[in-house]
Amino acid sequence: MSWIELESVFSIIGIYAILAVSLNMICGVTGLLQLGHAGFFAIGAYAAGLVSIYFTIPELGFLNLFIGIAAAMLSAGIVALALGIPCLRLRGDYLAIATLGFGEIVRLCLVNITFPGGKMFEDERIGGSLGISFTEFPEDIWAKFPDYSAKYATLPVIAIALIITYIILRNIKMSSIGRALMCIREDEIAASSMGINVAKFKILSFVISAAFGGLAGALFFHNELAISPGSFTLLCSIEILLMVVLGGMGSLSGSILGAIILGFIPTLFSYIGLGEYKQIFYALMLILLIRVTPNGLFGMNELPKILSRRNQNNA
Amino acid sequence: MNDFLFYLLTGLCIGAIYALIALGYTLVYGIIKLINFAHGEFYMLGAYAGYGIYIMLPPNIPVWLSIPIILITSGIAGALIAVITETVAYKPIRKSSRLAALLTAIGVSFLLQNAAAFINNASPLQYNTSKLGSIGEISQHALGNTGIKVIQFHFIWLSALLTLILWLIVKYTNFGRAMRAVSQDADAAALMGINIDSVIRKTFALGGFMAGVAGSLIAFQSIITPIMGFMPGLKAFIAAVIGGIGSIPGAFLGGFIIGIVENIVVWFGVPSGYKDIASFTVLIIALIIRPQGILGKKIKEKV
Repeated sequence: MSWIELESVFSIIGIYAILAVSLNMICGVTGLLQLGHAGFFAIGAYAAGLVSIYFTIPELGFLNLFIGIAAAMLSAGIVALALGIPCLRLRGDYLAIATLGFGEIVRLCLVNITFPGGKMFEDERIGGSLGISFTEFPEDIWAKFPDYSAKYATLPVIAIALIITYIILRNIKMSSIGRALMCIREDEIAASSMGINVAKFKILSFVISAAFGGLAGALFFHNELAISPGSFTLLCSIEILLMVVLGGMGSLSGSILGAIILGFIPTLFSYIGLGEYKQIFYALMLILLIRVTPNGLFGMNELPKILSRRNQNNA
Repeated sequence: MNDFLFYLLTGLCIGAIYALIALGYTLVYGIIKLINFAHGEFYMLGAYAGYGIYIMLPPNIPVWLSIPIILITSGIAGALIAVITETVAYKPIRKSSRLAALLTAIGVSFLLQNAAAFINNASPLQYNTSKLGSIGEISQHALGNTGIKVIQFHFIWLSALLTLILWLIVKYTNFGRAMRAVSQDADAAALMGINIDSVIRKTFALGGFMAGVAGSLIAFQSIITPIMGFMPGLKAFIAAVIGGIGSIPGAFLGGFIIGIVENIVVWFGVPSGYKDIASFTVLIIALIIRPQGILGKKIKEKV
């Protein structure tokens, strides 16, 4: 396997790790089942894609990435706010189904909507089921707009973004906000009787989680330079959730581990030539994993705590 | 025939299919509080089983005999797969968390979908409608050309009949009484001498039967593919939620509501690409306005 292939595998794993950590904020820490994270991922990716087509400033170079990220996080956050206010009154399975519906609505809308081409594609309409793609266009467009087609989100950028996401979300989890969220997870009625504004905190965690999902989307766009609605299916939401479950609901570092493990398996299967059985094994693994480790690898703990406990056991 | 009537009738026909699938969802959710995501796959495998028996039938068999044979075979296949799924996948995790059960159900769904892709190398199958006589043709009516196949009209009464039978079973037989007891309080039901495992297994069988029949019905008008169960499965679940999950008349009603809504919006001028969005929007609106569903009971939360 060449280094370039390996780099793209690692980039995707990094992006999925951001998604898993951000989903863990709502699913693990706050305890609300969300089956539509791919929807926020898609909103982020499309926001970054459209912003880079319409508003790329060539003089800024690499900084254009940050404009995309800001647009992605903002739009995903605003959509989450609009969705969260009515939907977060629902409980358990019903919330799961409503968010699943949301994810499908986003995907189906993206299949059907086309956007004006901006100054890059001029009269052409972009979007629809083909999505937004920079890679399929002839060299002369690339030559005219070198900054549009630059691959800003390289592996080191994604790695730094993942570390920053982890630090921010971990600090939120450890702060008083995080304690309020975990209190809501354990018992909503008890939480509200302790003076926690349940609705406010639920919406807060929903918006935070969605915004970082949007961040992952922006990185995804600037890494692949080609996105289509086919990347944001229900299966994508479920893969992210599976990473969270494997790592442990509520353990942010566990989600990163989950993303690394599950991200490698498809590559491994294609590498040893069993690519066509990949999906079946994935499904089987999902069923078996839940049977074997219902609490995930890390449970609800973070990595430092697990390491220190191991040292205690040794001593 | 005007357009409005066409969309309304198409909606009724497809609604009948959604209603049949929704019954299984509602029964299973009512009894073990599990959203059985694999239910759409029972529908898909039912369609495959129906096609399988159809190619094995002698070519000169009359239609009035062949269609019931196809429907009953696919129903039994659906029931068998449902029971196997329940025993192998759901029973061991019945005591663990709701999330674990939900994820297992999703896993089973993907597993069955991908396993079915090995049948005929995932290329679609289709009935040779000329062999099925007049039912495959477009029906001609006093109102003119309806644009709808004769068989589609049979969906409606078949669906109503099966729902009625199911409702009578749940309401008046000992098994139905046991089912309602388990859904109210499983532990108390067990103390009264009800074999919970057997009741749950039979519930899955009933739901699987309905889904299998629905699958082979829809196969008469469209193609059979491994992913055909996914969208109808989701929509039928929406139907069950809108009607009030756990309620049989609710599921029936919800199925028709979803079927009609997603077709009527096309008449209102919504591009047909947005058809699927309509049902998800209805779901979110319905959940916000009346989370317990049209015919569902509200459960008070106790401290």
